[in-house]
Amino acid sequence: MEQTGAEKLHTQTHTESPISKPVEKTLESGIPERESDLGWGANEVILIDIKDDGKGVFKPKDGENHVRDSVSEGTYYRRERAAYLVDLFLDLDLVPPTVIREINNRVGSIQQFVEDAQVSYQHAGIIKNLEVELAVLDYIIWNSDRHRANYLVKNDGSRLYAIDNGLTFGPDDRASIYALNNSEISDETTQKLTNFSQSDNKAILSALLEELIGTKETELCLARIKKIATLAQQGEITTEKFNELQYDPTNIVIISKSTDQPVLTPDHEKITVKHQVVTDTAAR
Amino acid sequence: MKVEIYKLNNQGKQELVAECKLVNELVECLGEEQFLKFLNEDGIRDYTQNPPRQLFPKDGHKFLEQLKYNFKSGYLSATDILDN
Repeated sequence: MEQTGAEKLHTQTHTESPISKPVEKTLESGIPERESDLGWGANEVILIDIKDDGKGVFKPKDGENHVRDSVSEGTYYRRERAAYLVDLFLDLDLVPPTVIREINNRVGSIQQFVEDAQVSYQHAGIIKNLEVELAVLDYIIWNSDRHRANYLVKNDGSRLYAIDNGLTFGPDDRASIYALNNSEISDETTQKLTNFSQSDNKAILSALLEELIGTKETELCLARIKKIATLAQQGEITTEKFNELQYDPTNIVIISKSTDQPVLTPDHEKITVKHQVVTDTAAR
Repeated sequence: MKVEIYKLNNQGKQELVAECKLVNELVECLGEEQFLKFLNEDGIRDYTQNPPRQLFPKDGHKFLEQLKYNFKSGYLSATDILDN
């Protein structure tokens, strides 16, 4: 299949991140030895054996199907990489290394396979702080799709892995961040958020994200980092604060009466927080 | 009509975790106890609704139909609806 210019950019000349993990190189250029098709479900998923270097979970762009209106198919693989970059730059260490590459003339995301892990529903004793940390990430990447089948647990619940991050950053009207309600973000995570906010890495992450998800979603993501960093320093996230986060005004879907299409709100506009606001944008 | 759900093991092989069948407009699932408990207690999300609502085996065909949208990570994967 003919690649678009944007795909060529990502597979051939994309901006290199100055922050990376060694395994990214293996994922990007390791020789795929064996492919096992894992799915008949909503999207195509292929387990790749990389020669002498472990396994990766490959999700090809052309195997993506429509799941919901808010996030277009054909963009999930970029969102998988974007979620990893956010995690990497914030040093949260929740998302397994994820890169974009081509395998057998198919472009897609490939994520390091996590060995010896259980899907979280199999595990009762997950450390609360880790679920809060996961919710911090999910807030920042605006993940509306986190549930107990798409994060992994290792080491008796002391280590979590956020997988299946394709439905993120879009204009969904809420995020799956219930663990934040009446919780406090740990000092360690607060420090990480503060470090990022005060570093020059913001501009670098912004440039990398823009290539993957565009300017609008990047700006919203960075605004959420700023917001959660501020909240983290204020102590407990009360239900009132939580509701404000969960239905973040910058992400509310507004349906235009004139076009019947969803549109994003202007970045800093304060509006009534509801699941969905129906309005005539032309009259606002 | 039925849906099979598979889990990936360390060797990269898929193991059947559960099989959910439509019986008299309700879904009956058989398989790994922990997974069935998870399906019955947490339910799955109906992504056709905004905001998504939870679906449970009692919701019948709709539940069966949405399984593949909920289990799509590769670590846990649901098939399309299959014939019995």
